[in-house]
Amino acid sequence: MDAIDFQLIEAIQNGLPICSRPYLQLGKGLSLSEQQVIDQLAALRQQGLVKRLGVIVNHRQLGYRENAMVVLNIPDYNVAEVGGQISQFSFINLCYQRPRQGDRWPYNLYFMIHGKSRGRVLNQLGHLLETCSLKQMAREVLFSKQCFKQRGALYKQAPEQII
Amino acid sequence: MSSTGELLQDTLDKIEQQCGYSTMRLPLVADYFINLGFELDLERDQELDREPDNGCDRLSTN
Repeated sequence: MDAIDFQLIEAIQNGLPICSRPYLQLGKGLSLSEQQVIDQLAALRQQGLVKRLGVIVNHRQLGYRENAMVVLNIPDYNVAEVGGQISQFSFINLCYQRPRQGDRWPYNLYFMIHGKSRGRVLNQLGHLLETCSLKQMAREVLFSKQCFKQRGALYKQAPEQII
Repeated sequence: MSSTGELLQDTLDKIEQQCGYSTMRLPLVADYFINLGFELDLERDQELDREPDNGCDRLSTN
């Protein structure tokens, strides 16, 4: 990544300008043409540094309020394989591994299912556990109760904004 | 200038101080799938909203 890439990511991390020609608007602040901005973003996408550009909907306002974080305790030798299997289900948004904290928190594999009804989410979870032969594994299902804050990561911040 | 790791540590320390509660530090080990978007199939949602029918009626098991 070069300096322009960093500047471009910083410029779009809070979203595109809401106007008819957002890339033109972005370019004005970076001394780039509209086409240069588009090309640069396309290059970042091709490199995998930017996954995609899209609309972020407020899923809770759309009724997706029954959102479950599921945590499992999977033997270390098998966790990558199970994580890969779980990731294949279309209703899974996130799946990743984190370290256990002894007996206090023995779970190492996390995944998330968003839904509009708890019944449906539990149905999907049951189907997943059955398919992956995980029904007997220790787990917790943590439904969201309240959303205090949700946003994408910021990749560059002024120091006074950090806390 | 602080490294990202030091900055994260400082931030977590300050959160603990301000909240008065300890945190569990669970850094990412491996990501298998991260997609912050998800399909909004609004018509199909209504069709599929139903109670569990496969025996998964417990929220947790140990």
